[in-house]
Amino acid sequence: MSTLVNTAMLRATVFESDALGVLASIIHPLTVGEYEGEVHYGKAVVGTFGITVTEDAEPSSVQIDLNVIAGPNANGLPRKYRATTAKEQVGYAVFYASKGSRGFQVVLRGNGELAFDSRRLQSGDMYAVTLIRPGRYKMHAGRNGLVGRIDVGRAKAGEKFESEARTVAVEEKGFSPDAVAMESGSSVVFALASATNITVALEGEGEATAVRPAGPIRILGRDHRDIERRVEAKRRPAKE
Amino acid sequence: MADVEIALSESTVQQVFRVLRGKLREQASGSVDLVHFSIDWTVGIRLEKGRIDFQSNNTVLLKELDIVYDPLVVTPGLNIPKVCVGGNCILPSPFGCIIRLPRYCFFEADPDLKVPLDLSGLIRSEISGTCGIRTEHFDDPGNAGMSVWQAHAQGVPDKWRFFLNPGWLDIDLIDIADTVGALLDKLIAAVVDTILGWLPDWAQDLVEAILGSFADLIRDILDIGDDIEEWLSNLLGISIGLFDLAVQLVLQHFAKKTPIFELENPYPIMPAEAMSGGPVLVPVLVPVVDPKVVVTDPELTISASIGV
Repeated sequence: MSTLVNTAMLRATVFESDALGVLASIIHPLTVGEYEGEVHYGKAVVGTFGITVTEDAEPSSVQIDLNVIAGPNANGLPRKYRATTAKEQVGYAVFYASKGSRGFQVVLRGNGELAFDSRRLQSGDMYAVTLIRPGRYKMHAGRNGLVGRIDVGRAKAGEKFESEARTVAVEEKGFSPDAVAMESGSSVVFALASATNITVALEGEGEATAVRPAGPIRILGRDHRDIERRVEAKRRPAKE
Repeated sequence: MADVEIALSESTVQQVFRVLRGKLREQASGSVDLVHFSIDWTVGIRLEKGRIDFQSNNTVLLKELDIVYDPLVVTPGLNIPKVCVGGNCILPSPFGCIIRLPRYCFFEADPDLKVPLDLSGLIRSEISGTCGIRTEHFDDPGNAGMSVWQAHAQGVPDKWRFFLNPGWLDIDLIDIADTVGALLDKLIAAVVDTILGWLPDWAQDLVEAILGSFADLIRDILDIGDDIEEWLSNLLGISIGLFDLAVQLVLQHFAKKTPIFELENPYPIMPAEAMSGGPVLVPVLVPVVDPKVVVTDPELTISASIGV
C-alpha cells in the first residue's frame, strides 16, 4: 500500500483554538473587502495568502487549509481565496489543517488594520473540533475559566454511521450546554458570544455512551442569528 | 499405389497420446483492467486424464481431457475509498450549504492494494473435441549444408511429422474446489488487515461504521455475489479469458508443437554396416513421398511411396 496515512488524526488528543491542528477548524465571518493573511507556526510566519470577499446573491464560505499555505508554492506568490456575502450578511473563512501536529495561527488584515487574530477568537467566531478518539474530554474557555465535558462514544462497527455536529454556545456565564455526548467521528462547534480561546483535551479514555441530539443544529452569535432568522423565514411558507 | 504402409492400433496411439499429454507445460501471465479493479494473473496449465477414440470418418475423438491450472495466481488491485470524518454542514440555506466543516481523511489518497489469491490446482476444466491428422514436412535447420547421410549420422534428418489437428474443441469449467470460498475469505481478511490492521480498535470500529463492513465493501468492489463459483468462472473465463487461452495452448501443443508420430525422411531401410577388414557401408536411405494418413475405427494407417 503506497498511500500515506494521516496518523496525526489518531494521535490528536488536545485541541487549542490558538494553536490549530488536524481535526480542528476556526470559522470567521468576513464582510466585503480584501484581506491579507499570514499563517504562523510558533514564532515563524510560514505562509501568506489573500481573501477577496464580494457581494453576491448568497453568502458562502471558503475553506483554507493552512498546511497548503505553509507548504511549497510553485510561483512564490500568496495563494488567493474567494468568498461571497449577500446584502446585510457575511461570508466566512474556514481555517483548518488537514494533517500534521497543532500549532498554526492565522492573522488577517483588511485595509492595513488587524481584522482577525486566531490567538484570540472574537464574538461571532466559531471553533469546531471533530473528535474521533472515544473518551471523556474537558472543554475549557481560556479567559472566562469556563469548563464543560464532552463524552465521545465508540462508533459501532456494523451500525449505520451518522456524523453529526453539535453546537455549544460560549457565553460569559458558561458553555451551553456544558455537557455533550456524541459518537466518535462527530463534531462540536463552539459558537462564541464573547472573546476567548477554546481548549478541548482528552481526560480519560474509555467507553462513553453517545446520545444523539434532539432538534436541528443551532448556530449562535449575532451574525449567525441574523442568518438563521433569514433561513427560517425562507423555509416558512408564506401566510395566506 | 503406396509402397509402404504402417498401421498403428488405437491402444498404441493412446499410449503415445498419454506421453504427449504429459509434455504440455505452458505458462502465461498478463493483466486486465476491469470497471472497479484490475487483475494481474499468472497461469500454468497441464493436462490430465482424457482419452482418444478412433472414428470411422478419418477423425480422432478427444474425450474428457482435463486442464489443471497450476500455478494459478490472480492478484486483484483494489482501489479502496478514502475514509473521512467531518464535512457536516453547520449553516444550511435553502440554496445549499453556507458553512461546511472540513473533512479529515485517514489516507491522503485512495489507497491501492494488491493481495494475491493463489488458486493453484483448485480449478479444472475439461476439453473434448474432434481432431484430424495433419501431415507436415519438417526441414531440420540443424542439417543445413549436410548430405542426407551426414544428417542421418548426426541425428538431424528431415522428418515427416503427423499432428493431431483439432477441428473443434469444447471447454467446460468442471470443478472449482470448495476451498476457493475459504481462500477468498482469507484474501478479504488479508486486505482488511492491511488496510485496518495498523489502526487502534476504536478507529477500526469508526472506519467500519463509516464504510460499512470492510469485508462487504471489498466484496462489493470485486463484485462477488452469493455464488462464488459463478463469480470466479466469469472472472477467469470472461474477464481474464483464461479458458480461451487454455484452448489456444492445447491447440498449439497438439497441432503445432508435438507430433503424435514422425518419420525420418529419407527413411533408413538398411543401417550402416562395417565390412570385416573393409570399408563401412553407408546406410540405405530412401525418400518418403506424399505420406497419407487414414483413420478407421480400429487403427491409424500411414501410407507412402518411396523413391524420388
